[in-house]
Amino acid sequence: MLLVGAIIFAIMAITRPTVFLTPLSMRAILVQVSDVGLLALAMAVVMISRGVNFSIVNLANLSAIICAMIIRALVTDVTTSLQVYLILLMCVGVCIVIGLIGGTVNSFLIANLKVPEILTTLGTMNLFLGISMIITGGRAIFGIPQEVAHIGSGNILGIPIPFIIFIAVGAIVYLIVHKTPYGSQLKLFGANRNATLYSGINNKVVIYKTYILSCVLAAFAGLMILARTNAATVDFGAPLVLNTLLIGVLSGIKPSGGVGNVINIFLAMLVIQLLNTGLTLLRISGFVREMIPALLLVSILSLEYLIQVRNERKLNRIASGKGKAA
Amino acid sequence: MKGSICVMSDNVIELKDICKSFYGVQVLKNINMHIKAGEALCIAGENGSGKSTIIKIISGVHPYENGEVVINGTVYKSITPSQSISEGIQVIYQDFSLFPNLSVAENIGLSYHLQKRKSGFSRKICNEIAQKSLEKIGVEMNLDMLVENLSVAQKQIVAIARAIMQDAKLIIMDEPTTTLTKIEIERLYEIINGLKKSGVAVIFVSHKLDEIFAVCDRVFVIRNGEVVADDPVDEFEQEKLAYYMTGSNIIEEKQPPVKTDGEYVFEVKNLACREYFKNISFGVRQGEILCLTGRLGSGRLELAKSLFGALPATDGEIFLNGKKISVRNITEAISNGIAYVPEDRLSEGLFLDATIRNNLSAVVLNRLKKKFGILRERDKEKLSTEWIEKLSIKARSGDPGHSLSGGNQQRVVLAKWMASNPALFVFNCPTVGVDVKSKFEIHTLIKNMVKEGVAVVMVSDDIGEILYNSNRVLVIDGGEITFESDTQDLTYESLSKKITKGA
Amino acid sequence: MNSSQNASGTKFSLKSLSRIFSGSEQILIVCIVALCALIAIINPIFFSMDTVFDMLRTSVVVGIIAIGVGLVMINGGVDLSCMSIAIFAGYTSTRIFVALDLQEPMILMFLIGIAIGASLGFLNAVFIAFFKIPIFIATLGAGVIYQGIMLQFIGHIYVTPAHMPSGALALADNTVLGGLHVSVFILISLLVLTHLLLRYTMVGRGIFAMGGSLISAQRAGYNVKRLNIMLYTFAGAMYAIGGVIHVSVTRFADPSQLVGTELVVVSSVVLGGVSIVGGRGSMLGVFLGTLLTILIRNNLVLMGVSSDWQAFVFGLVLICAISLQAYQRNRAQKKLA
Repeated sequence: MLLVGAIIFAIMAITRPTVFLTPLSMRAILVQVSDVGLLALAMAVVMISRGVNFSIVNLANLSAIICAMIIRALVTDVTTSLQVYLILLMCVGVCIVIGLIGGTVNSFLIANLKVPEILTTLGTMNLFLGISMIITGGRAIFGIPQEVAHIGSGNILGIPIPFIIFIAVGAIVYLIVHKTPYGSQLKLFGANRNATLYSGINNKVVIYKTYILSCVLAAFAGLMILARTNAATVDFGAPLVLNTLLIGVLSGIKPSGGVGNVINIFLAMLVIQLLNTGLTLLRISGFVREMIPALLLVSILSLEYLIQVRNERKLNRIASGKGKAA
Repeated sequence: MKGSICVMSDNVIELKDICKSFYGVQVLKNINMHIKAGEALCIAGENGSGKSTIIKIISGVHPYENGEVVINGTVYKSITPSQSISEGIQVIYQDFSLFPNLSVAENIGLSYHLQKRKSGFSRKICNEIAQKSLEKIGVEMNLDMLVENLSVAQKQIVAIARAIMQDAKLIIMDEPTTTLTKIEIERLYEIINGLKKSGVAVIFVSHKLDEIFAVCDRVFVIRNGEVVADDPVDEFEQEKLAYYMTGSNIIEEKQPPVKTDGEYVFEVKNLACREYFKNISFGVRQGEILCLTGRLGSGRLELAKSLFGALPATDGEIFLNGKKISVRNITEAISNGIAYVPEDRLSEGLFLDATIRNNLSAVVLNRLKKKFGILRERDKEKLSTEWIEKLSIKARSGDPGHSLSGGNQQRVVLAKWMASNPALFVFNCPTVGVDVKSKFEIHTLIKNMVKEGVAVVMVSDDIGEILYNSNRVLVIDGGEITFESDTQDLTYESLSKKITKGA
Repeated sequence: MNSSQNASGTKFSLKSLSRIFSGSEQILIVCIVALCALIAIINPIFFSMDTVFDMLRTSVVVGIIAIGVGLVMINGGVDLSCMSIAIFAGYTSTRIFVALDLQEPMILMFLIGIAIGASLGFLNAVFIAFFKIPIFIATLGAGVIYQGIMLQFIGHIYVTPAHMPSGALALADNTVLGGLHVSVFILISLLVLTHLLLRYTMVGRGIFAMGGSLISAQRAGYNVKRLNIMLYTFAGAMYAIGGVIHVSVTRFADPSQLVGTELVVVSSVVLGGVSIVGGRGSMLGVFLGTLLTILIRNNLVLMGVSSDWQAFVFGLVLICAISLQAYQRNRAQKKLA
């Protein structure tokens, strides 16, 4: 993983040193990693549970829109900076509530009604999009106070603030996935749902926790997008769903469930972001750029399967060969 | 080795030096086997010995690495299911392999169409064929019923009907009598003998001696993927077969009945669950292993699941140590100290891709957590090394579950539960797919547990296991207890009869 | 739930009828009639032959694509690349006609489209059957790839009505029986054809059998890979026909259209009673599901609902449909198990 990242970085640095190696472009990468990263984490936790969540991007947009409206309604010319930060804090709370509601709707369908994850989240994806449409009529919301924009564009010690927030959230997710009983349950659930059931792990609770975690992360990503782009739109980042899936797969989470590692997700994310930025800088056509994650996703999975089949065959041939010799 | 001597045309099928491995573990070693037209061959062997793999190789489901399969004189280096079927090979799988969403007639008729390599599909032909073959078995069934609405026993009949309707040359039956009643089994014998007379070869997988004697001409025993015996049926008797199958003469003694003052550690009264079972009342005494048995589909499995809350009982009471407890779901069962070792270890017990450490801590995760709900890897590690040592599991705590042998896997599942200190252990066929040495050790483990005061309810259909490892046995049929006895008063034959008695 | 109980009640009394209309299809008809009545009450203009014809005409594209998606879902999958393939075929075949300066025959344009759609469907099958990529990832990814290939290598410029082949324009205007669009007959004949394929061929039964139990299908001797290839190739051809008709009747080939409306098709199929876990479904159901979906979509505005509500209503309709189905399935399982 690191190797791939390094190679891409090297290629970029050699081909376009003047553009790529500037602090500005490095900063752009780190900033973009931040909200895509939160969405990738949101996808990754459900992928560990052997599920999928198509609704994250639209939920992020919905939460961005709601936060933007709250900020616009509450912030006037006379509001002090402190008050703006308080309102922002309130927005964080609102994000958690939105995530809770979205996650509960998803998990109710998946856990209680036993609807397949794909169809459930495809449905809620449209539902969240629909709510955004109803609220905004399809128009983008602009005009965010300077304090909020500062979070999206400011630095602390030269490190972009969004990136710091992302690292903090990532650390929390790391703790949840790797250091709590729930995290272990999540991984076991992804490995074998039947066995968790018979081990006394409440599968429904695991599903609820997972989708709520995923949706809260997505809603929070919405707030970050708002801060970074100074705008909230209905259809921001629609192709991101594929990107997040790709990051999950690259980090070693099998779509068929199983092992997950937050650190790997982080690395995979950097690789993808480097690649995206690199492709932009190399002036690759937008159409091709959009299809590259899909191409990567499909080819990585194909390759993985072929390698697995080959290894297994080899292993079996060796084992059977030994039997013959003995 | 006999196969190579025989004249080619005589053999319907011949396996030559077949080798097969899964995940780099060899499960079949140089298997040579042959069967003539009109012959009935019994493949015997313990669970996990490689019986099912042989069947799946013949039917083309599994590819093989070495050797060749010769069918009707044609040599196959590899074979697909459709080649196998058009060569006239039909299999009745243990899990029946039916289509739940199709009707009885379609299930039976579809195979016919496939074998004849038809491209069109005719409902009329399906109905005719289904009707004919069900008549052959002597069973009436609504042909338009969807298979998912059938009982387990009816499904098995459909699977049998599907196999015998075609002009098959070889019919393989993988334990076809597990759900059948005595009468239906007799009927199946007649069919098999009829098939033999008309020149069809039959491979019959079973470990029940009376069945083997009733239909088979030759017995083929495999152990750990190797052929250990291939002899005419008259040369076999129970002990010899058991010896061949297990490779050792472990002599187990029957357990004496436990007669205390009638105090039950665990007791259920009038337990009922929908149409699965009703009026179930029994108790387990201190130091006693109680066994529940019955045919597949008799309700024994559902009853076991009810005790664990996986299929909550709809009526009745459950008492543990004299206290009435409620078991409406698995979480309640566990908080009351009930543990359950499932029958299907691979799908319900083990996390194959997870490490032993994670497997072992699955049940007690919440008890391991420290301040702020943090779970430390160190504590998991401590727990797992402790249990690996206690049960002498041959693996390191970082190994994944699928790298273990069946016996060690089952020990991991047991340890997972023992770590939670249960008061009642429900075992559902605890030694399926376990080699004989591990089997013996697991049985010893269970007996030791009972000595320490744990109540044990064991569900099993392995008559040897029941006779030698439990003190008392209850036979369930049609969802009700039909027979109860101390195991000391029973023989292999008498218990076997009680189980298959049927209506 | 009352309506379903009623439905199963009538099922017993009218056995012959229930052979044609199974439970879910009866509910659908009731829903369609009820909705029509409701719309008519709100807006009396609704009740005319023209509206019926118009509704049928607008359901053609979704309906034909739903045939393909329905088959994939009966087989136990879901195809998220359907719209990409449809527009790929529709747009490319138009561009080829324009490039070669062809105006007629329409049948050639269909054939080119079908060839493209079938090839892309075949590619899907390769990803799914040979590389064992989970179906939703394979089709989602493939959809984006096809879209990218089209935009980059075929083009992204609209073909305006002025430049559309005259054959396509003629198809757009072709009506019979005083207003019934001729493409409706294409839809109906494709529905009937697929129905017959499903019912009377081994491939069709195989699609059902695989949806019921993949392992059993393998063991019974079905070549599952070949079956997958046939299925996705056929589905691809259906999407292509839908795509060609789409560009023809809109008189406008815009490569960015259709994509993004996959959910309309998926809702039609699920509403039509095709099982969300595979193994069950009928072409009649798909047709009725499409009608219901189109009825809702086309008449939201007529009923005084703002068009901003469309996405919301669709999400809601899909969620209701899958929940209802899941609820019924769970209840049936509890009853039997």
